[in-house]
Amino acid sequence: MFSLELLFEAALFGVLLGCFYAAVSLGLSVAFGLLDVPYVAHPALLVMGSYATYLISSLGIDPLLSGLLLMPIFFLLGMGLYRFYYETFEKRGSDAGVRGLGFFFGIAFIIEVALILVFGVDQRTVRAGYIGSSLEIGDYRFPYRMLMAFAVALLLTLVLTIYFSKTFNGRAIKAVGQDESALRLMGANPVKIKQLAFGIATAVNALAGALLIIVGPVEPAMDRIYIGRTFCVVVLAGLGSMSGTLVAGLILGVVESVVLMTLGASWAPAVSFGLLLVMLGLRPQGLFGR
Amino acid sequence: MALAKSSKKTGWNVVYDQNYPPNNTDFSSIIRAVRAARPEAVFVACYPNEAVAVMRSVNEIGLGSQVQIFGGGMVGLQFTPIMQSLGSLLNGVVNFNSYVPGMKFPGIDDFFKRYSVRAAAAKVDPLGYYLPPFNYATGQMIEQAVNATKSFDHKKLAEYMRKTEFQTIVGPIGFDKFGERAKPRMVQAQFRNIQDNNVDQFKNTGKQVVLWPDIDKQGDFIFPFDKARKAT
Repeated sequence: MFSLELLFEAALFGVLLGCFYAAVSLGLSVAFGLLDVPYVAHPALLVMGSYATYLISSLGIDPLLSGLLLMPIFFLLGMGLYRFYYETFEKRGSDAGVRGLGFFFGIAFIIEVALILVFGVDQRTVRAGYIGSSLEIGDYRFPYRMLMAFAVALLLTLVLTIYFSKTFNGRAIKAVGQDESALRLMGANPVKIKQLAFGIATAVNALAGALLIIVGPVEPAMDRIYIGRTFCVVVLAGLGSMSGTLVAGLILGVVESVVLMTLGASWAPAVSFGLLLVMLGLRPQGLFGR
Repeated sequence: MALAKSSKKTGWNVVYDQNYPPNNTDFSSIIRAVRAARPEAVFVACYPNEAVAVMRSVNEIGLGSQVQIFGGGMVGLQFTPIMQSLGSLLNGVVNFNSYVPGMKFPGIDDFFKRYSVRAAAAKVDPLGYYLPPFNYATGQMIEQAVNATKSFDHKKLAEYMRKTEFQTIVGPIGFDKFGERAKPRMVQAQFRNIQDNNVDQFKNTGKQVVLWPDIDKQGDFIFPFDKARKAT
C-alpha cells in the first residue's frame, strides 16, 4: 500500500499544510519572535478570529473577506492588549516575562470560556465555493481551501517581510526587539512601537483565524492544539524571521504529512514537539536566527 | 483490534486500519491513504468534531470508484447543524441513526410537534431526531415503572425494568440479561438527494432511507458509492 507516489503526494499536501501553519504562526512570530513577549494567548485570539469570521460570514460575506474586514478591529484589540500588559506587568520589573506568561494564559482561558458561553461547545463551520471541492491535476487532487491557505500565507509573508525591511515603522519594530535603549536614544518611543507591532500581530490573527475556519471546523478549545504547532514554527524559524516562519511552517507541514501517511495519524501531534526538541538541542537560535 | 477480530469472523480482508488523534481537523492525508489501499467498503467511526472534516476530505480527495459503501459509525451526521452544514456532501453515505422520518411509532409525531416549538425557543437542535425521542422514552419508562411498582425505591424499579417491555415513542423497549436493549432498533440509513442550505428537507421521508434492519427498511441499498452520491 505504501508507495513513492503516495509519499510524493503526502509531501505535496504537506507543502499546502505547511503554508497554513506558517499563516497561523506569523502573528506569533511578530509578538514573540520580534518583541520577546510571551504571547501564549495567540492561538486563542486565532480561534476568536475564526468565530468572528463565522459571525460575519453568516451575513453572506465570503469568509476570507470577513477576515480582512476584521483586521482593523483586531489591530485595535492587539494595541489595547499590549497597553494593558505594559501598564500592569512590563513597566513594573524584570520578572515581567514570567508574570506576563500568566497574564496571557489568563487571557487565553477567558477567551476560551467566553466563546463557550456565547457559541456553545458545538463546532462551527463556514461555507464558500472553495470549501469541499478540489483542483484536479492528473491523479492528484488539491483541496481549494488548502490552496487558499497557501496563497494567503505567501502573500502575508511577502507583505510582512517588505513592511519590516522597507518601512520606517517596520524597521523600528525590528530595532525595538534588538536594542530598546538604542531606539530610545534615536528619539523613538519603544512602547508605542511595541504597541504597533502587537496590533499588527493581532490583526494578522484575524486573517489567519478566517483561514482556520476555512480549512476545518472550529470549536472553542481548539487553541490548545495550535499552541504547540505555532510555537514550534516560530522557534524553528528563528525568532522574528518572517520568511523563516514560512520555511519552518513548510518543514512542519511536510514532516507531519509524511509521518501521518507512513507511521499513522496518532503520531502527528508528536511531530511539532519532536521537531522543537531537536531544534532546541541542535540549533537553539533556530534556522534563520542569529 | 476490534476490526481485526470481526474481520476474521466475517472473512473480510482489511486493507487499511487507522485511528486518528483527538480533535484532528484535516483528514486529507488519511483519505489519500485510504484511497491508495483501494478498499471496497470504508467504515468510519468518529465523533461529531471530526465528522465534518472527514466528509470534506472524502469529497475533495475521493475514495475511488471501487468503493461500494461508505459510512457506518459516524457520530455527528445525525445532528441538524452538521447535516445542514454538509448538505449535498452527505449523499450516498450509509450511517447509523436512531430515528429518521418515516419510522412509525405511537406518539412520535405528537412528540416532534411539541419538540419543534420548544426547540426553536430554546435554540437547540431544531429537528432533534437523534437523542430527544430517546430521552423522552427514558422518562416514559420511569413513569411506567413508578406507576406499576408504586415506589421510588431504586431496587424495586430496577427489578421491574429488567423484566418488563415498555411501550415508548421509539417503540417497545425491553432489556436482555446484559442490560442491553433486547430488540435493538438502531438503523443504518442512506442519505439521498440532499441539497445544500436546506434544513426542512431533512423532515421529509426519502432523504435518509433505512436499509437495515428489515423491520424498518424503507428502500434498497444503492451502490457503488459514486453512483449513490448522484442518485436522486
